[in-house]
Amino acid sequence: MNVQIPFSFVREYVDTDATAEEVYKWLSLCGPSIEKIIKTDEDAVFDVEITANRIDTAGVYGFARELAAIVPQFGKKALLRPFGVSLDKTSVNDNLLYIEDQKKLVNRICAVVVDVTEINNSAPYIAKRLELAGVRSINNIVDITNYVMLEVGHPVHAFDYDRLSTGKLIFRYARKGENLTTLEDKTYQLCEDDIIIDDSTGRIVDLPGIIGTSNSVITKDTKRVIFFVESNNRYAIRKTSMTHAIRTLAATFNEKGPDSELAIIALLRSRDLAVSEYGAKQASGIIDINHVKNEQKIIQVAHADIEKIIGDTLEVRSIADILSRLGFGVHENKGLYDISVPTWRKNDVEIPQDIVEEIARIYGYFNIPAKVQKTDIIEQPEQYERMFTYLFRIKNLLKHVGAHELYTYSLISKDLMDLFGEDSSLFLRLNNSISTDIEYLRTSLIPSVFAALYENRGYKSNATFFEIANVYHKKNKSLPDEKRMITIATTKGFYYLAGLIRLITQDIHAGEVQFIQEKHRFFDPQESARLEYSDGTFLGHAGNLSAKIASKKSYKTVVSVCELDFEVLVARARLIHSYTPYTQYAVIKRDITLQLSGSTPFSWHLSRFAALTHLIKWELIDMYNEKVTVRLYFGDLTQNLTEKQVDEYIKNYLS
Amino acid sequence: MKDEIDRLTKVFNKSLLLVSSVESLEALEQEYLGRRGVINSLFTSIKEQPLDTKKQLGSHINNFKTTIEHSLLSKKSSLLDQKKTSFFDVSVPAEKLPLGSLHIVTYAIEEISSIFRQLGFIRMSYREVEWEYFSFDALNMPKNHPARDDFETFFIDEEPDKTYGKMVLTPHTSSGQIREMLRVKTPPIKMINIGKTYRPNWDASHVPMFHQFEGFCVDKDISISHLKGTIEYFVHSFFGKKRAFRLRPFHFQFTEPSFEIDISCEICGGTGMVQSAKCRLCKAGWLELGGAGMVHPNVLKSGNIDPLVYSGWAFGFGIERVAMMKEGLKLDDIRVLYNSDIRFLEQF
Repeated sequence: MNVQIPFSFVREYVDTDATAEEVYKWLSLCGPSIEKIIKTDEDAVFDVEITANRIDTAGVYGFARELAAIVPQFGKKALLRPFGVSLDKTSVNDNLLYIEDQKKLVNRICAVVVDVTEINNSAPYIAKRLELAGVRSINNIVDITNYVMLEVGHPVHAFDYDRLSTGKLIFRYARKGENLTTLEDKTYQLCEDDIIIDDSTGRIVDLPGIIGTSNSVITKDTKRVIFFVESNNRYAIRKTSMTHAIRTLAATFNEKGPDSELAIIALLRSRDLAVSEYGAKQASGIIDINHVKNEQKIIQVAHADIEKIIGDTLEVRSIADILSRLGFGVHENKGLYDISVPTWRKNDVEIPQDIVEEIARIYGYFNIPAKVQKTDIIEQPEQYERMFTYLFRIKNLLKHVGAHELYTYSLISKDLMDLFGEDSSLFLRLNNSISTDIEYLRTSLIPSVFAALYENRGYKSNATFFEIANVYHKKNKSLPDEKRMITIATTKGFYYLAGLIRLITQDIHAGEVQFIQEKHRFFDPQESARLEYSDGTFLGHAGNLSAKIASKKSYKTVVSVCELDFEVLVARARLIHSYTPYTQYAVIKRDITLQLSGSTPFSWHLSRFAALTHLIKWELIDMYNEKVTVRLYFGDLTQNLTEKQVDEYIKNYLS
Repeated sequence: MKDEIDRLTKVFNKSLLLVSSVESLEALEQEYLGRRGVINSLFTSIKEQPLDTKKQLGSHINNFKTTIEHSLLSKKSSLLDQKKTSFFDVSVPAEKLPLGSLHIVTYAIEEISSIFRQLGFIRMSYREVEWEYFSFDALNMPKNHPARDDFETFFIDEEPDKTYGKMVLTPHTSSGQIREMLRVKTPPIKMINIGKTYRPNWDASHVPMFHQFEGFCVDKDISISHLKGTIEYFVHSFFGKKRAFRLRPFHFQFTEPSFEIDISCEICGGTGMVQSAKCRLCKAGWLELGGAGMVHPNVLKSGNIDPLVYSGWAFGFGIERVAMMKEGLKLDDIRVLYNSDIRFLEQF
């Protein structure tokens, strides 16, 4: 919430030699955040951000109080003047106004009836100050209600007494089916927890704390006015205001719970202005129905604790000064402070830490030294240490072979799910998404990574993308499993993809991965593999994206993609591999051609290599259709092998 | 012997003249200096001679060998020099080797983790899908508190839990504070929680999914000065020693006192003006970094930590924001970070 406060208005209540620039700088450091100064020819207007807990600073007087507390810290003068209202509450015997709040729907009601001579323009200084604060001038009486709200920090309302006709104001909840027409001539259907004022005939004459109704507000013919100030339940105000989207300035004040002690001050000030500026005459006594019992709240804080939380030494004198300038009562005895909280801070200051905040901010956060804490060593759980080490290492590896890292949204659209033929019942879904593009929490990264590759087809037809991120698996009656996966998609073919996977497992020494033919719903049936370790641990899947999926997008490029369980990879990773001694003797090479088939795939041949004695290495040299040429390397750690021996081995193998 | 050597010298020189390539030179070298070459057979031929004679003849043979070696060397040298007269242009573009890219958020995360590791903070990663309890209630934001509806949150269409409330996508990494306290149990606690966070806003300055990093430190006698010291270390390490920072009063439910942290603008040097015009990047010389504060006693209690014995501080910054501020990267539209356009990605 932002308010505009003219400096000239503030200076009515605080005697200071600080300039507008200084106030702007110093208050922003210690108190209300002044976002900017709007300069006019004679004045400077502060644009202030009011936080939800400091509605006491929204009014000119509350702002002046902060100014008076803060400016002296910087060496300039600032003395707060008392707020003058004649607290004359002499009860005039009359039956002019009757107010009832049986259910205690509001905290306090203050009212007075005043006779006015004429409804016309406001005094120029009032109109000017309203304008500077961004409030439109309407007429002399309505302007008083707005002026006092801005000045005191508590909203005020004015009724036309005669238009009420009954002289009675009853607080109650709205009933089903009731509606109300506001002074803006808008009609609303009310809810049963909206609080309204009834003139005792069932007719609704106000939406208290939020907005007046067209049937009871001041017109140019008004002769008798009720100034009416009620201190509302802040939660009820917020609910009603948000439900009906009636966001008046009064509502934004009242939902933050201004001090109920201000209600009577605001009322008396309104009466005083009407009398002194416009010759109005008080017609009734002052009505003050107060449900609030303001018990004196005392908070006890130790001086040592204050210094401990701030991390600096402070003088008792400074602490006492700061707190009393802010309106707190301070009594210090043997290092213990008994601090009484003023009524306008009672919702905000409740625990010793709140007191420390008051002291520290006025003392100046900039005065507190900066020193890094010294603590015992903290141990990172090993699984996280490993995870983050290998995460960055693998990302760098992929970057350096030409792949591009993606960060895509964790949620996908129904369209993308349908493209991949997914069953939406397996996915967690948002019930308040702001776009159909981000509705379902993904269970695989493949659709998102494919979508990225597809979207970029115009700029880069040949590319490799990867993403390492969580997928979300629904669990019955508990939070989902968040599993970190790595997905790589490439246009460079299945064997290139397999090469990348091998590169990764090689670099982190995570062991040999086996590719086993297995169908997968995203891949073409033949060109689809299950990846696992020789002990059966499942790693993931790799394959060529099914033509069926690609054709839905008329995308002709073959996309090879894999998705691996990142945690399984990391669990097997090692920084330093064990050493394998190499032979000092001659190594003999032989090339052989293998015939692959459905029943004798490469993995079948590979498993038979185990039978070849003295085989130290093999390399794939060439592949053409179902024929592959493999180079075999033979050697012995202890002696030279002969060509004849190697020929024997090959002969035995091929038979 | 001497005659033999003279004869062989003549033959060698003749052959050397005919050599026109490095390969034929090496063949000649092999012929004379190889295992079964001329020099070795000369040595073999004097094997049976008496010692004195062998010594004398051997030194003749060695002289011959040295002569051959020198001749071969200089011939090789001139051959290699000749090679260089063919055309070679050093300014032709280099071979293109593969270089992909990492996301700017990845670089930022690495740098941030490394800075805090130096202060002894451990990097953790907590849940993206959370219960309301951990994201709000345990952080001193009870149900129906107005602070809660200011927090725009994504809710998941699942049965709420009787104890922990509705399932949400966490709007801030602060839920990690509770989780970490429950994990560690006894302070000291020094954590950086880096994770994805979600809020229902999607426009030129907001994305619905973004990253935050949460700093959290709990021990005996942790004070505001410790928070300041840590922030100072981070700001200087990440942005450079010339950048200033300040703490201003603010309000969060889960900290007391609460602060907003600003850093000085790099464009105008913190003055707010660039050549007598208002700086377009910052607000009067300062840029918002994020929020911070001393951990509220109710939050410590939610983590089963006694606020009378321990105290702590916490801060939360947006990673995208911090990364953009560092590089002076002025993105007109933040959505480009997550639209996977290769023309953006490959620049990093």
